[in-house]
Amino acid sequence: MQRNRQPSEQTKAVLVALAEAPTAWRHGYELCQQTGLKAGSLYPILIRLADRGWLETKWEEEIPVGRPPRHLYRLTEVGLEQLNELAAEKMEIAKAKRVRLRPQTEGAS
Amino acid sequence: MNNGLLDPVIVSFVFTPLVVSSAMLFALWWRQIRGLRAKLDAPGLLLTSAVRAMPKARQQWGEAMLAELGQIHGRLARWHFALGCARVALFPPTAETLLQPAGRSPIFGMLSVALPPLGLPFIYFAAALFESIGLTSSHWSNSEAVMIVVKILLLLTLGCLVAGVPLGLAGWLRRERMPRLSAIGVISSICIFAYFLTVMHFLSGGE
Repeated sequence: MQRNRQPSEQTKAVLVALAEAPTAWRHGYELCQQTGLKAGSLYPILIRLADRGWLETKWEEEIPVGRPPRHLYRLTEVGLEQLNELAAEKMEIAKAKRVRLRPQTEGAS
Repeated sequence: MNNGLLDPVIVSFVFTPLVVSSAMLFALWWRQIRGLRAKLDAPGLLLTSAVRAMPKARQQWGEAMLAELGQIHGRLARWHFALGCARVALFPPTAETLLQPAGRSPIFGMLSVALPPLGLPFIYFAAALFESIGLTSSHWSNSEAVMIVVKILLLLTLGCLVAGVPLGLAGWLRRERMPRLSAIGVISSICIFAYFLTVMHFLSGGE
């Protein structure tokens, strides 16, 4: 059964990093450096995102001699949609907070 | 107990199971990675061993981590990356869209191997702590509270010594990955407990 939980802040950071260049394929270590996450936190997130179908993976095709192919990642359409939904939800929440805070601020001034 | 803790006989009695178990586990691991030792550095060996223990359905992620490690330079960065990835390889996230692939993470198996050799050092360090705060055996019989603590510590120690058997069996029943760990845990627990009983028999004068 698919769980419908809010992604953690770390997951959101990975999604945002991937969404910065949605068509580009990214490496794991590059994502570690960009998000500031350790490998032990990043890979479980990537695995879960791939399980949910939010992340597309492939192996590098043009491999320089002397090293193994690297695994590459990018967001799927579903992943991008989910990220947009999350961003919209966040905006809604921020808007609701502003509306709640306004009478107090006005009352104080 | 005065100076008793530093007595070489006591020290060797307490630490022999830990040293022997660690040496045997290291020897097993060293033999397993025999073909890779010339090709890889320590972080590479550690991660390769952990990746080998990954469930088949997750193997490609292990390969991905290894390929990524190949691109990282600098000893510290390699160690950080390899340690983080080894943890993920040993305890990968449970599959959300796949059925449990090939056995569960070997938590019980690992505990069954780790706990028995730690039983005697545990009580040794507890005794050292007692001594450092000025509680010697002459105080024990006078204080009921201290006696209760001592009894609890002794029970915990005995629990550690024999814990390998139930934990190993639990690991086997749970169909954990790396079933050899559970087997090693059960055998080492029995051996260490037998060792403990034998030495105690001799220390008490063989009566």
